[in-house]
Amino acid sequence: MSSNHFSTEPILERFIFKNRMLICLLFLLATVFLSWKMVTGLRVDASFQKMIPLKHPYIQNMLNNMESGSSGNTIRIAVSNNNGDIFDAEYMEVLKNLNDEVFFLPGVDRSKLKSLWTPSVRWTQVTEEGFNGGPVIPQTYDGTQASLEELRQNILRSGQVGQLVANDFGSSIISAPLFERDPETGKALDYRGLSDKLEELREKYNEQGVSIHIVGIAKVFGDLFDGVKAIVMFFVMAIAITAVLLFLYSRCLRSTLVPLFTSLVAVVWQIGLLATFGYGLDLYSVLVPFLIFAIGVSHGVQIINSVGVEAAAGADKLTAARRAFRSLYIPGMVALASDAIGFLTLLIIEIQVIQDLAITASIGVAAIILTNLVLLPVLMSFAGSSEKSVARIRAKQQDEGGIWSLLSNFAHPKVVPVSVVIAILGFGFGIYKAQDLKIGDLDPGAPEFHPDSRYNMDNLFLTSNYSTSADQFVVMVTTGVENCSTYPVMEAIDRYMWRMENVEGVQKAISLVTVSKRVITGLNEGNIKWQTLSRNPYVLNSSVSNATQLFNSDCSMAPVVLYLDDHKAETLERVVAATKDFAEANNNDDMQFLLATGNSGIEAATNEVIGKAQAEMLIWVYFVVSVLCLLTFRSLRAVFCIVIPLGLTSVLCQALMAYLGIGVKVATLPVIALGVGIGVDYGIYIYSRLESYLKQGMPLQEAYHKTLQITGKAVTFTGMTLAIGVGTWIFSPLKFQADMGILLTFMFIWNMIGAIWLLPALARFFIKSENLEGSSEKKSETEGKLTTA
Amino acid sequence: MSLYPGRKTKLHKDWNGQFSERKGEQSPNVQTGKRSPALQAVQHCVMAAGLMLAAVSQAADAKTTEPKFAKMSNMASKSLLLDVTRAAESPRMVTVGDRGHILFSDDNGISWNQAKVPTIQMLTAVYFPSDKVGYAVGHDAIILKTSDGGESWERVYDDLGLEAPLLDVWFDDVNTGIALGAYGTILQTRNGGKDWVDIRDRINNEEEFHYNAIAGDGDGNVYIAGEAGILFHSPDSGRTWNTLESPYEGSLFGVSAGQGEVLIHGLRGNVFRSTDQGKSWRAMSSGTGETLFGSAVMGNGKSILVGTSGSFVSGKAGQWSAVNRSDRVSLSALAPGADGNIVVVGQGGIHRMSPTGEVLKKSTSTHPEQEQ
Repeated sequence: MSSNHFSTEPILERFIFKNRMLICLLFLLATVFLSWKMVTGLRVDASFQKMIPLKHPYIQNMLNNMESGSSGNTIRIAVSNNNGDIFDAEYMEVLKNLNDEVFFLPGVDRSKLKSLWTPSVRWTQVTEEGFNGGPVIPQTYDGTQASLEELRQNILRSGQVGQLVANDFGSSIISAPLFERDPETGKALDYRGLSDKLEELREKYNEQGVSIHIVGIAKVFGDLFDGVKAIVMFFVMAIAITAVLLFLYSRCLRSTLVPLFTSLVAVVWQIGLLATFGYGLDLYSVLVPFLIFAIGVSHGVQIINSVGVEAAAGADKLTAARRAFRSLYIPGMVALASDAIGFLTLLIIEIQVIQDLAITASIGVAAIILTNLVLLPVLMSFAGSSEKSVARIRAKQQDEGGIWSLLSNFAHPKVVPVSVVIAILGFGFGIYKAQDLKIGDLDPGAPEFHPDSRYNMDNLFLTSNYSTSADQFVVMVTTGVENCSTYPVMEAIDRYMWRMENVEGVQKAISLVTVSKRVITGLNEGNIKWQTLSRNPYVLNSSVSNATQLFNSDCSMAPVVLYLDDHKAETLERVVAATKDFAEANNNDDMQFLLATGNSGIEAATNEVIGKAQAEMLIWVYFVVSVLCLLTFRSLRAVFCIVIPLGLTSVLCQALMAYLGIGVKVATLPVIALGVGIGVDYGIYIYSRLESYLKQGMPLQEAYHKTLQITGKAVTFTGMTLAIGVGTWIFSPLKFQADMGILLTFMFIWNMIGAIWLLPALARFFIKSENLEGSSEKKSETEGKLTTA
Repeated sequence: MSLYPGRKTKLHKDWNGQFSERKGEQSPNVQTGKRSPALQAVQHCVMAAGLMLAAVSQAADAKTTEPKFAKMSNMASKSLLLDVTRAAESPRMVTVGDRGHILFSDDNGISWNQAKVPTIQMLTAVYFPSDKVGYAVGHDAIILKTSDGGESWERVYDDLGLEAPLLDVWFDDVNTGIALGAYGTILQTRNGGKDWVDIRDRINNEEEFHYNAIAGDGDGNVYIAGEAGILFHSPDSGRTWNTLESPYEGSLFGVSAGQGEVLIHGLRGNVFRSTDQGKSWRAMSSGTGETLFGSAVMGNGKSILVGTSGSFVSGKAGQWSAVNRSDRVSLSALAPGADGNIVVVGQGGIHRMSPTGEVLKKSTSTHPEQEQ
């Protein structure tokens, strides 16, 4: 520890340990208050807007043109007959009942509800006298074979096969557009409530000989919340496993319960503070309590470890706790500060869920500084380590060999070059593999869920039985008021649509041009030689008069909906690039092609934000961690020793992502910041010990051996508790949480390995010139040969 | 436009150019294939208004940069195609359609190349009087000509102000031919497409019904069929025209002539056959209720017709059997390939089928030179 920090220690230390009862009382009061806040004020938040990059120009365009109703926020319910096809009286009856129930669901735009049973779904036929047409379900429908046959004919004429009726006639769809806000009350749509109601309907109707498949953003949100519920169980699991490990580690009930307790206090504080500041827990920040708990325990272990070591050296309870506090509060503060600041670098990503994650995690870390660096030593000064465990530590210290002796060889001059070469190879391998790293979501369906989740199975059912894709990319064409249906605009839209249909990955394009052509054809007795735009403005105007969903109320904006094969980043990039090209060539004062909305449009915007932020965030997090290390240790060498192992882990993590097919997305982008921010702790604890021994004049390997004896166990244990905290997420029903779990577990474990294995090697590499010279005599003795375990 | 269940409605264009509904029983004139003078006056007004506005919209067009040439696309063979033909005395097949797409094939329709075409407008019909010279027509009254078997095309005529598409084209030889289309538009050339003369006065179509189709039998007889059942015959390769008594008051979309017979067809599966140059017609049972757009006389009394909902009618006249393609796309035209199979075009582009209506392997298309 640098001596310049030393002068401040006694004051703080004296204050804390002279007023132990007061401190405990203050903590008690704060905890009671924040528990109350947590219980009363915590809400679960799932605003759609929080998940998207609101400042991105695409999203701005989307919000500016919101009214147009092309939000794509539609629930589609496919009702499949278990006993044959849809031309079945019983099936039609069940469909009718379900249709009626969906009609009355809250949030459904009833005027736009569509199914075989809604009068808006019609067939038309050209006759000598003009048009003949009607609802697809004949008005004389009575469930007899004859009327079912009529229904079949009507459906074939209606053009709904592949849209509302499955290509194999085995199912049909009820399509229910949703209001984002209730038009009467102005209240935001309750996704969760709607999803629950849909589940009730699913359960009810699944017993009636049909199977129900539901897709739509509202259902995604509903299922996400169900997934979040499972998280609570993982939290309990993580606590239990950690407790067992803590006990195995310390063999002391008091040393187990106290850090568990203080870490849980930190979690309570964190959630209570969130509630106090008006934040809610969302799908991402719900994971923060795990992190806080794990970080809390890992720092707690350092204190417990230190207290035990001091006790073994003969100190009484109070002195042991004071000494532990004295030796750890600086590295602890630095480590936690770098955690918090590492999290705060996430703020540069302009997606609110990530920013909220940054803030909630930082608040939690601030709580840990108080609970685990102050409360924990104070509590330990009352409790103390058990006699048995102290004796155990003492016994261990006598034992010169053991695992730590073996590991200290990582600082041996003959091992160091090997380590450095391996590290360089690791960097090379990682960088090479990480080139396959993709931005965005890679799996089909809703990437939030596992491929075999019910939602994705439902989605698969729809995409394989209907001619529509779940991936919609919407381009907004803005014009002067009442100009959206003029020939120049429509002609440009038509060309744009064809241009896009030629882009790989675009299945088809739909816009008011589609409707116009269909209507003009219809007006010309169905002759497809007329299936093109008319230069006559009256014809053109009237041809789109019924396509109200495909332009806004004053005809100044018309969406073009592109149905895509998938939402892979390359597909989106192709669509974006082609659209930008087209816009550049065709945009003028009267007409602009604007990117983009629809789920894929939003995803394209998110990808752009993430792609840009990725490098920026990495630079920031490494910069901040480096500066903190520099400030603490006043040595560039320290920075290299601590940061290079982190860098290796980051690179290998990217390679792992590429290997596992996990893209850089909203969920995984924070992982590296979190991994680096937390992973730096190991390095800081190890380096601060190592440095203090080196300053005492010990040769490197001996200093490292001593360091490992004191802190090695705590560091490895820290790695394990952190890994366990996030490792339980791997079993989350939500794919993105599982992805985060895998990656964070990997990062925590590798950062630990990096700190233990690579840090000493780098220390020899960087430090040999100065510090090691002073102790050259000793060095020649002990470092000439490998120490054997 | 809204449709009321179970009520048959007739659309007509009113003064505002809006399409509105009329109950069937209120328009007896239509039943007899005639339009009321009032209706016609309205239509003229609309067209006049349309002309003025067309001028305006053309001015607006000038601001946007319309590409001159049809875009080369691997998907052209799957886009909306409206006519297909086999050039005289040649295996070459040529198809035309939406967005200025023209494709040609030398292997009976298995593989196709996209031609260089100076328009992106919809082309509706194509005709090859020889193996090299061909003509295609389309919307904006565009007429295109090729002299190299359909590989490159030049624009020989257009009339945007007309606001009427040309719907079919027929040539007696490489120089003399007729292009016709909507609102009684009929143009004739005698010099290989250099000059086009409006010959609407030579035909008795005062109501200016659409001419939908024209076909010759190779022996000097030429037939025109159109909207509201209009039907005309020329015994002298198109020099003079007389009105035939129509067996049908609904619209006729196609006519095929040859081998001593004439077929006309239209809405709701209506097909009529004549073996006396149109003097008398016999209603035939097509076995389908779909609108039939395209036909071909195959010889030996056999013929094939195609239309909406993927309908494909084939066999000996009078003993036809009808099938529907499972994709139920609307089919516009067909041409027999030299291999005995049939190339059908329409929605979804090019479809190869057997003479009995079986769906064959998909066609592919490539384009010789990429063009942006």
